[in-house]
Amino acid sequence: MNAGQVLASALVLLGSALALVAGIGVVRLPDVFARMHAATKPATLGLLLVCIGAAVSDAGLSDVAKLTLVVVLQFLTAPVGAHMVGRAAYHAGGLLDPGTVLDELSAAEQGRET
Amino acid sequence: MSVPVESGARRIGVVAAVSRVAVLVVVWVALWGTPTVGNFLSGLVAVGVILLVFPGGPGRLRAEDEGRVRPLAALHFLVFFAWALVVATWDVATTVLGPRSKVAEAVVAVPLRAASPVIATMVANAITLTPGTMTIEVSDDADPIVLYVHVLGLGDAESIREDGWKFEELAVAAFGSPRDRQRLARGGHDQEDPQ
Amino acid sequence: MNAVTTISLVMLSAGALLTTVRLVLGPSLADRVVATDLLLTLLTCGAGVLAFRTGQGTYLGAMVVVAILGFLGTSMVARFIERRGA
Repeated sequence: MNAGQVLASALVLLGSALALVAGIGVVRLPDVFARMHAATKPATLGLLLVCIGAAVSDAGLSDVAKLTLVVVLQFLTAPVGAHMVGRAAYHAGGLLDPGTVLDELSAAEQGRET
Repeated sequence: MSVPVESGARRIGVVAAVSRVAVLVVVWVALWGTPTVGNFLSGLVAVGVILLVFPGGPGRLRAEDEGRVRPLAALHFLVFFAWALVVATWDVATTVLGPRSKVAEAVVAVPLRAASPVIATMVANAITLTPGTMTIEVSDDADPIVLYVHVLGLGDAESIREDGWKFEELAVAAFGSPRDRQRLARGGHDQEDPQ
Repeated sequence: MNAVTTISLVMLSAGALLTTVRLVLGPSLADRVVATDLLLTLLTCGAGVLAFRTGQGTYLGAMVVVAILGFLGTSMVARFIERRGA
């Protein structure tokens, strides 16, 4: 096992661990929005690490190209998807945790209506 | 200050169209995996068909919002963003794995000083992927553009706004239009004296 | 190296199992969308680990497709929620 493979193994392990953290977060956190935090950040970084790991090991040019495409797509789509679901969930109403301490969006919307 | 939008929009439209074709061809070649002449040519044909069927896209951007890419500043933005993503993941991981305590959630308004939708998109995406924050709504009115950010583990709302503005500064420095740079220097207004 | 990928795959499977729990529990449609999206991201990660383990490029095409289709599904359901409520 050479240095590259050790590095790749470490990256793949760390990435998978982050993906597991995302899974735990989705179960444990109190409301949709908090769960979306867990589903976007650790999972995106985890996928990035796994892809770098796979690219470092012994991939050819065509493999690296595809892995790069996967990472770019994930980085473009994960925040946009989270934004779309978050926006829809917010407007559907009633999904914010009762413990939410401050909501400046509802304040702004009430100000506009009156 | 009025900008001749019509002619400007058409000139920019050519640049935008060429870069759009280039990006799509690169994606096509990456999918095939090998940069052969045949792949480039078939990519051009495929992209041509795609753009015929689905026109539109960044052509609707107004000329005054069109920026120029500055490579060094763009690198700074990327590095700052990458580091923020690592910190964010660590934050969320400790929140998730920590004791089941009360997490202070909040929705905070972050008014942007730049007016370009491109900058707003970048800042919104960066916010979503960084420490405990996630953009859930963007205001309808154009001036100022307000991002509404959901926060996991709120300290105080001001620091959230300042984080957003830091991203905005970096994004404008990297990709901003002249108008956005001026607005940023004036604290978010088109005119020197807003009143 | 096989041990490493086995541990990784076990962690990913555990994550997928937990995500499935959320998918079943809900309670809202938005929760289920978030869970489905994460499930697809985990699937992409798993394909990456398999590509690393076997050294075969075949999995990479699947990763690209899943990454695109995952977003398509998420945005469609988000629009649905926007119109009908969660």
